[in-house]
Amino acid sequence: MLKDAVFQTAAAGLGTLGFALLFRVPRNKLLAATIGGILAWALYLGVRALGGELFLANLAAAAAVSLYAELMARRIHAPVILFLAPGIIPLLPGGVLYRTMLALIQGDPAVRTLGRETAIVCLGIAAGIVLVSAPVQHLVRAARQRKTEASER
Amino acid sequence: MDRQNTELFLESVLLIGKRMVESGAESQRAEDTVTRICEAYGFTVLNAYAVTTMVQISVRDGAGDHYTQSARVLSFSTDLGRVADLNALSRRLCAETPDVAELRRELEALPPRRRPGLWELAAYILATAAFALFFGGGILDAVAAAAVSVVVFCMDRYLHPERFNRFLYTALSSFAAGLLAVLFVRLGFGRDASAVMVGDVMLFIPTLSVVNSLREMFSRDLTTGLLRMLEALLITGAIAVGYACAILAGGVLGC
Repeated sequence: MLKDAVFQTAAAGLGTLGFALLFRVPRNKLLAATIGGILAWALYLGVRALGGELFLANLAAAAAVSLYAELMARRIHAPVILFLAPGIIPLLPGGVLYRTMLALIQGDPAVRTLGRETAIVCLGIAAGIVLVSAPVQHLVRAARQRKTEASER
Repeated sequence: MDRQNTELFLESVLLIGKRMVESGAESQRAEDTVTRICEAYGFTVLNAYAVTTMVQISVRDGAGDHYTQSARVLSFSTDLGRVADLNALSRRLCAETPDVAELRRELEALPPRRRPGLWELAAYILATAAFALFFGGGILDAVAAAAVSVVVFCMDRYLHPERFNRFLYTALSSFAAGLLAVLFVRLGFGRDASAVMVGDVMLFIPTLSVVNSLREMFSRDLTTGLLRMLEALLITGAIAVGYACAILAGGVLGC
């Protein structure tokens, strides 16, 4: 069980690295981007193992990657998207999406449960990203506004 | 700055904004960047606006003259390294404010957009093999997924996808990837067709559009966010159509 989890997390890390390369993340930031993906999947598995719902697990993992990306971006002065886009990849519901499509063309009634699962995963990821991004961007804007107002005075 | 230099300056700044949007930056980042550069050069920025298809800026100079320029964004190709380069360039411009000729030189010195090369080939192989394993495939499935990804790589490198309609191209390459996966498994190269296909499907999913779209929609950039979300949904639909056709064709061929 744990062995599977470690193996899958390692695969998630390699996949994240692959996508970071594909998105042409600069080489000196590849490691930081890869850690985001490992973090996301480890946290997802952790929440699931503790009995968390699918929605909650995706939300927690996506929020954690977003927070990590915001912190890394500020630490090494690079755009947030460099760490967020690769890190979120392991969470994407590639597997269920594929099975939903397969069920759809084969007329399998399982398509409804699968479709629902896909939607739950997507909503969880979206909620996790927004939960962190929206307040952070709001704070950044507010801080900048204060700065310009102070300089105009 | 005289009128001609100001126009040239704005043109260069817009080019930076345009390149950022092209390479996958959020629109807000492009707006921020052009605004900051103009302010560093002493202009009052009246309006900076970027969507996935256009960047526009209006400024007022010290003498009270107004300038407005816009640039259309036509192509799109993810290159976050480029976003980071442009970001670093804009920081340097804000700190040093070199003259317009120097600014143009700096812009031209940026490395041009590369075609996918060996690094990208390694990335395709690594990403698809890792995700085939991730989704429960065996070693052989991972190798098969990687082999399919090499074909997708060749298509991306030699077919010049930027000249095609992005949705048609996605449907076409998903179809090719799906059909190859079905054939490989049929020939005994790979055990589990779904693990092979899911490993490769990750290549097509428009992650960047979705992530950017969410961040934009919830920070009041509704227009860009919706444009991007729609684009992502259409691309996902194109992937589904491509794979569905591949599976149906595989069924007809007796796989």
